[in-house]
Amino acid sequence: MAHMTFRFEDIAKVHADLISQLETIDDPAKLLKSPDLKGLYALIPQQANEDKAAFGQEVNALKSVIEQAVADRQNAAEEHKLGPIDITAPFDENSSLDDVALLPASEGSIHPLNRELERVLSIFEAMGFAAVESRQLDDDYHMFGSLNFPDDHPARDDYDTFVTEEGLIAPAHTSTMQNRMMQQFKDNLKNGDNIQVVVPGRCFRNEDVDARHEHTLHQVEGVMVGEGITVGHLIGTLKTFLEAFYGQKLEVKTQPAYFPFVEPGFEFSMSCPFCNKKGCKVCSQEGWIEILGCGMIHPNVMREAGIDPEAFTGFAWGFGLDRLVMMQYNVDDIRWFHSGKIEFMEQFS
Amino acid sequence: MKLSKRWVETFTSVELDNDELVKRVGAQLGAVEEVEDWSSYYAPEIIVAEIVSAKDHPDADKLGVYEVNTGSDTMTVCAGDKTLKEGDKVGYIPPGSDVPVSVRDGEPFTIEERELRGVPSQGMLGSAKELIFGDDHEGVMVLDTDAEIGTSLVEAYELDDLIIDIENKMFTHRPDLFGMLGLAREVAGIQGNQFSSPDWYIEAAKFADGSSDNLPLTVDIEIPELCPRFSAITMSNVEIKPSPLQMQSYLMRVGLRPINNVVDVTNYAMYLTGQPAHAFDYDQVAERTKADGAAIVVRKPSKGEKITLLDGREIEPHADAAMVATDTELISVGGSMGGADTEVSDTTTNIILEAASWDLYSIRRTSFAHGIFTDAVTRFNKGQSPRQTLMAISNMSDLLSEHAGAKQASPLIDVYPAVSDEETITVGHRFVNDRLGSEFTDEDVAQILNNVEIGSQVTNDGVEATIPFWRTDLEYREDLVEEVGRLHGYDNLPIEVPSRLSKPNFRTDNLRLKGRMRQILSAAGAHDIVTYNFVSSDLFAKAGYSQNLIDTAYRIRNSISPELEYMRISLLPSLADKVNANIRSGHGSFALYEINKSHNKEQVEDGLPIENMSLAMVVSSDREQKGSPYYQAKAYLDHLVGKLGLSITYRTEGDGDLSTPLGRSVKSLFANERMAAVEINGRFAGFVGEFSAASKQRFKMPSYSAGFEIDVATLEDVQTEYEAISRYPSSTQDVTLSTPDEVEYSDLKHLVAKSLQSEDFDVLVKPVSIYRAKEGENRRITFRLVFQSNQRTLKTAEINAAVAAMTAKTSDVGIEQI
Repeated sequence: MAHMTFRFEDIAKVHADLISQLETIDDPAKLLKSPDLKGLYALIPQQANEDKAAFGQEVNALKSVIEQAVADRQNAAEEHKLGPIDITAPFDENSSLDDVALLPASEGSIHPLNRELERVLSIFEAMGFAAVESRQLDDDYHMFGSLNFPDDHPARDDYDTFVTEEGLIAPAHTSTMQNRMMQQFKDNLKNGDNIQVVVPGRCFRNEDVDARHEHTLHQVEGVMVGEGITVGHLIGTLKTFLEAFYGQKLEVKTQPAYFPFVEPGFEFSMSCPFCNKKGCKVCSQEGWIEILGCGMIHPNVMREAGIDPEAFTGFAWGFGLDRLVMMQYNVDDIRWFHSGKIEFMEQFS
Repeated sequence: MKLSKRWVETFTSVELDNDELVKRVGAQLGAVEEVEDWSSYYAPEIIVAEIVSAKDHPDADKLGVYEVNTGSDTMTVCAGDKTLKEGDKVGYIPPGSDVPVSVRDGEPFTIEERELRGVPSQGMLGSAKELIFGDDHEGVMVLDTDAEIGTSLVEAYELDDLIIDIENKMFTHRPDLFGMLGLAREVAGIQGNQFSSPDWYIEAAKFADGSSDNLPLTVDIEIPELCPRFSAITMSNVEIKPSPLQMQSYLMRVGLRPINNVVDVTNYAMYLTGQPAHAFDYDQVAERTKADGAAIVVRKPSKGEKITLLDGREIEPHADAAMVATDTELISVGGSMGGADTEVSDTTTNIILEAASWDLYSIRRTSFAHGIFTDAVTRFNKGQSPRQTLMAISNMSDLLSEHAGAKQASPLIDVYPAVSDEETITVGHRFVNDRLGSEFTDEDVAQILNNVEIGSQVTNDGVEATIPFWRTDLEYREDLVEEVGRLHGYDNLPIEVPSRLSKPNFRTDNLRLKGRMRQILSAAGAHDIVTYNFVSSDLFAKAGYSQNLIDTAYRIRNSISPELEYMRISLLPSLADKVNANIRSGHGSFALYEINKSHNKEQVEDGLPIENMSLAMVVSSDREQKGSPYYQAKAYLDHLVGKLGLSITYRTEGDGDLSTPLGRSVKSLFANERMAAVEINGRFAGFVGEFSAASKQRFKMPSYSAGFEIDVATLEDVQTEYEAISRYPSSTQDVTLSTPDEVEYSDLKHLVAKSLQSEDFDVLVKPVSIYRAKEGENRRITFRLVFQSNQRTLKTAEINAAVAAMTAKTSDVGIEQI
């Protein structure tokens, strides 16, 4: 902005004057009260009608330019005054260790998303799952191609992804890691073990934010591949996890659903752990909560990862951590998660 | 997609009650979005009545006064319609009953007996809108039913329907389920019943041959890869009028607006079979044809060619769009939307009925390119089979003969260059059971598949299933497994936990380390926060990024707001941006940190950006604080690194690695000579510093604000080494050294510790104070020296001697003890 040019001669002149004064003046703040600057406002009514608005805007722009220039100069002076410090010292001159004491533990907190993720990972570890973090910027192949979404396939319409100018994708699901996980742990199969891995990570949906919608979300993906893995195992594994997470017996049920990377695919629901299926606010009086999408990994996805779908079968799921945490703590507005507000955080200290 | 129970029942019986039907559709077909019970809209008292006599209202120009026979009585009703005649059947709403449309809209309106300008009116004669048969509310709807006078309207038109709206995305792969026939087939399968499609859908349609060629038509496909099949027939003598009310009602129930008999029939056929169809005004097409009669050419548009669509928009189709044209001009966007010029109108008498097949990818591209989102697009982009165009034409021409008096006026024109074959998939019960955990026999599998007309026979190799043409989604054996599991009911399958592994599995070291870091930092009073990857150019400006630095950030090309325009290249600006709001809400002193990833265009590996995982922290206070905030940030870093068991060195900023945008972006926030380059276990990790005056001003941070951002890859959680604790007492001595500014604290401390090194004891060197009386004088640095031996109690004399020897060495370099 400092290099801005001004169309009106009167304004350009005041600009040049003030900038040159700035270099020598002792108290730069005085420039903001310059009568020349104020005088420009008086000139507005004298402009031709078609120029009045533009002139006014330029005067305002000039004022901002001068304000920033003054601030920059003050900032520079401020820093000059402070001078260098001994960066290797434990505390500053004429102070003591007490002055750099850490804050009391009672004031610290772990973000509820990270705290609950810790619990989720511990349960899955106990169930024999490895855990690897998901990518936050990926390519079309991992987000779609490796997952049996052909180019221009209408199933892509269900994923409003953010795309960079280079065509990279901020992934809309942690399934973007499925192909990599199967490749990375493929040797397990040779040794007669399963591939068992969960993938926590950030996901992104190109949508407007409100109390219930976020463009930045957190998911936990799960992949299990081995000999003789069935739909029954899928349901059993998820039921076991949810019962451990909520510390109670739950009922579960499935609904058929379509995702190109699984066959068959399901929406998975559990009986509401907050009201014993009686109906409450959390489950919208339904007694059931739809908690995740899952299914048996599609043979094309297996083949793409170099696994023979005749010899091995597997399942995958993905659930939203944000919703799990919102339900757990009755968080009323999803926007709190990324607010960075201490009044929200300190409830989790 | 809306399932009408009544419509389904015209094809198969429904034995389940409404609640059970909804539950089973949800569990075995697809998620139910909404359920609408149409029987609740119509009071049983609303009946079919007959006009007995009609006369004008004595006192109101627009009202007619009718005597109405209700079967049991004669009522007088005034109506805002003077066209009704004796013998017309009407829908009569007696006093005390609610108007159906008002019930549906949630604001029930009850009819009362009342006087209209002196004439008593005992009830109401319903318009199409009031009775939910259409949008028309101008006049009374005249019924076309044969039902006896006094029959309830619900019975006459089977209005006690249940509409189950199933999420469309459940059927992305199921073209057949965008037709009521397909839904009916599934409902039969779910109930374990055998479904049989109507003959016209299964058998080759029969059309009259060339003898009736009164309205000649030719069809030529230039782009068979985008239009595998185009079938059409012409019809003459068409009388445009409203369709039968039963058809209008079905269309209304599934959310389509009745228009006229020709358009309704194409919509009805589409909603029945999933196959979109279109009717052109034959004469309009012929007028635009150079050859005799009407000529249709399926091709891509020429450059600059335009078309006005049915919705009134004029578009210039993209170069690869599949278009329907005459031999001179475009008349329709293939499979998406018709053109306005050749639309069927009230004066149409001759039509072309068309049903074609289009490449789903091409349809989708054109739909997005021109914003065309019609029911036809929804269906075609699921991949409708080319093998059902004739069924749709046969169904439509039958209906139009019946309801519009139309006569076939050309032989069937069917251009189908590459006929697609029937396919079979063989799947054994073991393959199915291995995936479902079930115990089906081949016979069970065949039975379940046969119920939904997937012709299945048990052979030596398993079940050989012939894929019916409408199931373009069935390609792999796994697809048949889905079919069997779903129709049987997944919730009826046995549930079990997989047998345990022999080998333990763990989270990655990185995930474990992150958990550990959070424990350490939060126990030190800091808040773990998360902020967005997406940032604005405004944030970059506040952080003082140069244009070169900004150019290394990935830019989102479709971001919904300027706030989310870039992917961040470091975390620290996002944290700095959270300081002000917390200060304003009264939090005086705090530390915020985030462990997350950032990206830039310079660090790329195998075509993907390296994901830099860093730890960033800001400390800030608006309270009276002594010294630079740099030391507070450094204290956190020392604490963390110490707890992890690593060594840390602070070097002048010039020693920092600025080869990555991450390093440059962090450094740009800090004040010169009040920041340090951090080395952890000998590797450059990042920067720690006091925020520059400019950063503080732009982010509106208090002047006591500092931070750091370090690469998590330089950290690891090292096993703590245990040292035996001495059983002998320690001795302490303080020493103050007058230190010139050229000597850094750490060098002095190192010199002191090294000079005191001895085989006889261990020495701990701890800082006590750093004092400068006034500017220009040396700093007086006081250390507390803690001496201890594992062997014996140390004597004061030997400690004094050691200290003296040490101060002699410092004195050599001009540092005197005070």
